[in-house]
Amino acid sequence: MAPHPTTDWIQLQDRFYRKQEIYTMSWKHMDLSKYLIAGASYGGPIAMIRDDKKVLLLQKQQPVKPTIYLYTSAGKLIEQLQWDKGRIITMGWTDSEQLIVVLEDGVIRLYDIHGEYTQFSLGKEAKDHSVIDCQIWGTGLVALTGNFKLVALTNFEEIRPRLMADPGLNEPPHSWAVIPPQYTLSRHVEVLLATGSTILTVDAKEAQDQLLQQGPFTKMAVSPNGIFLALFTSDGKLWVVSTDFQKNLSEFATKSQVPPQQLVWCGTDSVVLYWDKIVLMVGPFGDWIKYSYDDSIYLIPEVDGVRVISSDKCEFLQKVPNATEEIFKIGNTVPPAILFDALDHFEKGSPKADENIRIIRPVLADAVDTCIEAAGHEFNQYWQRALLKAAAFGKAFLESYNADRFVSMCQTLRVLNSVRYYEIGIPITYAQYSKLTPDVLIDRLINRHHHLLALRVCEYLKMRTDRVLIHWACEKIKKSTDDEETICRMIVDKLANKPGLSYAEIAKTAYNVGQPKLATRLLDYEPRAADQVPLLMSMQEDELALIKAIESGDTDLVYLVMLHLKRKLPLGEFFRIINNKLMACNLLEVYCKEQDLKLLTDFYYQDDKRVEMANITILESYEKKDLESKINKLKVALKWYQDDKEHAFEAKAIDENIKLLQAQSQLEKDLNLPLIGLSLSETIHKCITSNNSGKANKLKSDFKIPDKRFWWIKLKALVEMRDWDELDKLAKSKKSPIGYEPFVEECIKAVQHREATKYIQKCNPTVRPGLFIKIGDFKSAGLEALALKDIQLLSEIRSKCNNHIIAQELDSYIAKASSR
Amino acid sequence: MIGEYHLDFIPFEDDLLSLELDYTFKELYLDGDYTSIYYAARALMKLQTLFGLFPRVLGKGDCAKHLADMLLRMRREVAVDDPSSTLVVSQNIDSLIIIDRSVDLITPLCTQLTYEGLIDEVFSIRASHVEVDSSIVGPAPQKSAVGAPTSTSTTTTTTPSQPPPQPQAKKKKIALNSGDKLFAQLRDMNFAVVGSVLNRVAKRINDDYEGRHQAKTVAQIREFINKLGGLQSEHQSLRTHTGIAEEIMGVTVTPEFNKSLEVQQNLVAGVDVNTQNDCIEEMINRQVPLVQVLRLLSLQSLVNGGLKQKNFEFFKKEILQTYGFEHLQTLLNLEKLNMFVKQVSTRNPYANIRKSLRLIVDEVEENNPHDISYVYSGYAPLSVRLLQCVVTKGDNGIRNNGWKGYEDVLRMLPGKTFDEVQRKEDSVIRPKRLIQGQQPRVTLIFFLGGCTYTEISAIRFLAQQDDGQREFVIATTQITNGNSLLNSIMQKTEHPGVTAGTL
Repeated sequence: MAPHPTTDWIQLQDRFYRKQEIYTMSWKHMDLSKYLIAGASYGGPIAMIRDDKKVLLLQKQQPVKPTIYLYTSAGKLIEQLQWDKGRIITMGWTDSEQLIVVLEDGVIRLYDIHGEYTQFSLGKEAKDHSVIDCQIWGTGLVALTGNFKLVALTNFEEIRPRLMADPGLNEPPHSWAVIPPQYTLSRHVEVLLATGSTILTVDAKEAQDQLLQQGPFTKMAVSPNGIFLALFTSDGKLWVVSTDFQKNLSEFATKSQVPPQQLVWCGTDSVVLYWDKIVLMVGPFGDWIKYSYDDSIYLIPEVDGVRVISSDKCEFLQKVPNATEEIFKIGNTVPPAILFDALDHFEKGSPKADENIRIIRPVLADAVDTCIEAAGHEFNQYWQRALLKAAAFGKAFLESYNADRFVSMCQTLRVLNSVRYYEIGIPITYAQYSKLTPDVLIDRLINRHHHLLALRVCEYLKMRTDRVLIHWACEKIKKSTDDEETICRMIVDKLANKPGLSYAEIAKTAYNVGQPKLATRLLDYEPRAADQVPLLMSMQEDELALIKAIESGDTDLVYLVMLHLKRKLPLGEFFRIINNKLMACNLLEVYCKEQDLKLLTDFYYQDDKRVEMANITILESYEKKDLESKINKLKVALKWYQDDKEHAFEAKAIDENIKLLQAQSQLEKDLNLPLIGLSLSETIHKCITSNNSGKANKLKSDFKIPDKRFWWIKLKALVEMRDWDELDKLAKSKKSPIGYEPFVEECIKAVQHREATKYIQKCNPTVRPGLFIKIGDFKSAGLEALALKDIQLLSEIRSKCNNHIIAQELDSYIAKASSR
Repeated sequence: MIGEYHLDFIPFEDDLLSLELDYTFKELYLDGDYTSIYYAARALMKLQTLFGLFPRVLGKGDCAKHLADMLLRMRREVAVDDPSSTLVVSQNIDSLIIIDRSVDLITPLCTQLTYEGLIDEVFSIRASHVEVDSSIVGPAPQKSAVGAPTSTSTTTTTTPSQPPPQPQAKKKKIALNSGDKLFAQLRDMNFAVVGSVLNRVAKRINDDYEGRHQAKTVAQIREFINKLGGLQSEHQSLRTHTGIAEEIMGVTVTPEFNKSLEVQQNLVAGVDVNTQNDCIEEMINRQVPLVQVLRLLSLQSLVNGGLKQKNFEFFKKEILQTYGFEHLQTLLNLEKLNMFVKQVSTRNPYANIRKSLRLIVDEVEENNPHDISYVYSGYAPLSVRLLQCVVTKGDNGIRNNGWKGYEDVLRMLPGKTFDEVQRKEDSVIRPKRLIQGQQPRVTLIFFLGGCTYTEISAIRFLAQQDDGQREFVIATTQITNGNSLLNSIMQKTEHPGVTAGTL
């Protein structure tokens, strides 16, 4: 059985603090005082390099060249980096666990945990006057230059260093601190500089003097939530104010003139000071606790406490969370404590268990919740289990309790316990985990190459596993020395049962490390064409890119590849790639018809597509304005058509087209009429209406126009001219091939009823009554109907007739017809 | 940030979605440009993410197959973006049926005879709006609110050969959708019965107006006033539709319209197929708009498996000489599409198809239709008959036979036939679906290359049968008709002539 949780509790006024040992460090003989140290929060790793300002005994084993060591919180060496650059001013960690190293000349290096880095400079100001100090937070940093100017960089994703307002200092500040943008009112970074006896608040635009007299301040620290500022004065006083200097919170005299080596916040309600081997924790009401160590230590502030790294162990100092306190505080009789006690009785078989439950019955649900929460705050698995058991026990007495919280806490604890395991070495607390989110935790695991654990956690929490797998595959490719076949098979085998995994990034990595063949093979597994195609293009896999684009069906992608190829390749090569791909050919044709007829002609020519050549040439001819070039184009087209027996009709049609154009051009000169552009029928029509029947007749015989059509043209033209005599002549010239009804219809359309009557007589007797009705001649209609002996038709005519004299006559016809 | 916005489907009605891609027919079948298939697949994929996987995807036609394949591919791609939501099989939609326009080109070439169809033929509907002369739809409503017309005159005042007297006449846009109660009632009816319905409605509205004389007490008057707003909007809608109907009537009584309708009906019925040529020749001589001629010639070619060489060349020559040599390209396009070709064998599959799918129904009661053939007064759209193959119950009362039993007729139609079942990745079909024997009721129909208003009406008619057991949702790339179909593939000419244009 584990020691009772309260054994490491210490009371500070009305609240309890605890310092728990989490790991015994794996490192040996470590003297932290000799190092410049940076610890990442959220249980992150520790970076250290020998501090060149401190005197060191030259020992035999020690390497001469400086080295940055990266350790886990459990003191396990992750990586060591040979340091070859200039003097390091400071080090720090980003939220994504990248190590920031700030150099004297304003150069910043960003290392990942395996020593790969990118670097950039803070700009001219920093370079010219060098950096003398630097403050780093999760997403940015502020550097103090040799001429006491401030350079801020607020986003490591987007390197854009900016000079802040000039604080106007002439000497280095006694101390300084930064309030990260997310905690300031303006949402921009603010810097607090201790100078003289006061503090300047500096942002991008101005430096504001807070007009304090308590200084000089030799040390300061901003609380993790950005609200409070802890100040250490030269006369040994610890003073806590709000960061806007409006509220005075507490004061505490330490009796030490020497400023502490470290001044950090423990959560948001107490401050921890560290002098050589002595740790002093000061609570909000001036109470304090002192811890002594045998060796140098290092403090890493966390959102809910302080991690204490010493030469032999890693400890966590925090305020005892409320839930834990309620349950374990000696002699406490609040419901959660009673519930926890009830379980104990139950396990012993004591009836007091039942009694306990009865007492707290009305608030049992809250008690269960508290037990669950307290379980989350425990590092010790024995107590985690005990608390969860108590919660489960209490839960059983509740009729409707939503067990989601219980289940999710069990899951969370499993995850937390597995990452806290000393081999992994991430001593993250429940509160930190909630703030960090599982996603980021997974990222951190991946970055430390704990792929298997990350995968298991993802699967367990039902999160997406792709990025773990993709990262794993990428690392595999970077590290592996096997041949591409082996790597490819290894990766594909592992990822085979994960449908919908994107291979593009893996392929890209392969390409970047100089394995283009492997990249191509991997890309084949990428389901998303939109990701596949651009990469293939950048890998110069032109034809493959085109094939994949076509497979995707996304024509935009096909065009993207095709236009890229057209720019890049000689025309012949371009056509060669396109030719055997129907879809690409079709799209090229569509594109060219809109944009580039010349290219299309070349395309058809190289493939010897004569008929298409002809078609395109004809299209070109339509665009020509002058007759000469129009006809020339058509002649070219004619040749193409003539080469193909299948297109004899088209050849003939084009031939006629040319003839027509020539005839029209001649006629235009003779008759002074615009004709080009008209169809053959229309041309004849124009000839007739301009009294040139001879020309019309010639066209008829030249183009072998059928009689029927010619009569129609003539009929329409003559009616249009209202040349009734000519029309009459036409009608009488021979038996009309189109009958005489069209004559009647056209006359009616021209509202010439008298003329129409003439032709009605020539029509078939059966249609005559109807035609007479159309011109309103009911009498004649009646007579014709009588001749047909159609009584029904007669009465129909009668009903339409409104002239009563004719109506009477019609009545007599009806009588006549019916009498017979 | 500039991103791509996927417009996807635009809903026109509860049962009608359109991608509004106007030229899909030309792009797909003439140019071989499959962009619209990609858009269609993406839009259908969106529906799948909203409503679950279509349990079954059936279809006919090569492009339709292409679309179905692309849907499967996209399903894999979507899994990359969000694998946690591996799509479940839809509980509402039982299948997706994809009909490729190239399978049935006959239907759009026929003149639509429903009210909405004829509006589209005569005025052409764009995005469910029609633009007509403001004189047609009558004066503004406030003018004569109470003096309701007592009857609808059906005599015609204008003929299409004489253009309206004022060419400058103001155009008015009218929304055609089910928001207009009267239109909702009329739209799917055969035009032959529209007149009598309008008459009946006019009488009722008049009676309602007369109701004001019975209003004696203040309460009664208030009640009448409350009704008045509704009456007035009804009245306006009646005026609009009476005007439109009259205008359409003006077209339907012309000999040109009736001649061409007669030719169409003879062709699809296979009656006197060869004697229709004279009529078509006369139409060319009369210089009716080319698109009308081409509709008939294409129909002729489609139902006969092509034209005899002599006739084929004769018509081509007549067209070129009458409408201009530029239309050589138009004719080549039609040939490429297999719509207007030379007969190569005397075997004519259409005759068999007509018989086995019962495309011609002799007795049509326009007033009280029993079959979808009412939309063309005797011809049942082939495309919808194909749908019926899939959705009507088999002998055993279960309807998931797919194409079973119709393999022979499908073989005669162009393009691939397919029937695929979609499952969840882990291929575990949830037993949940079988609870209470509840079956999904919605069938999604997708027309690739466009559908006509008559086809929509016919499908709505099907939905009403079967006691409303089945709902159909129609999705299409665009709504089309013979004119828009052919116009898209006709050679555009800058022809100064008077006859080359369309209506």
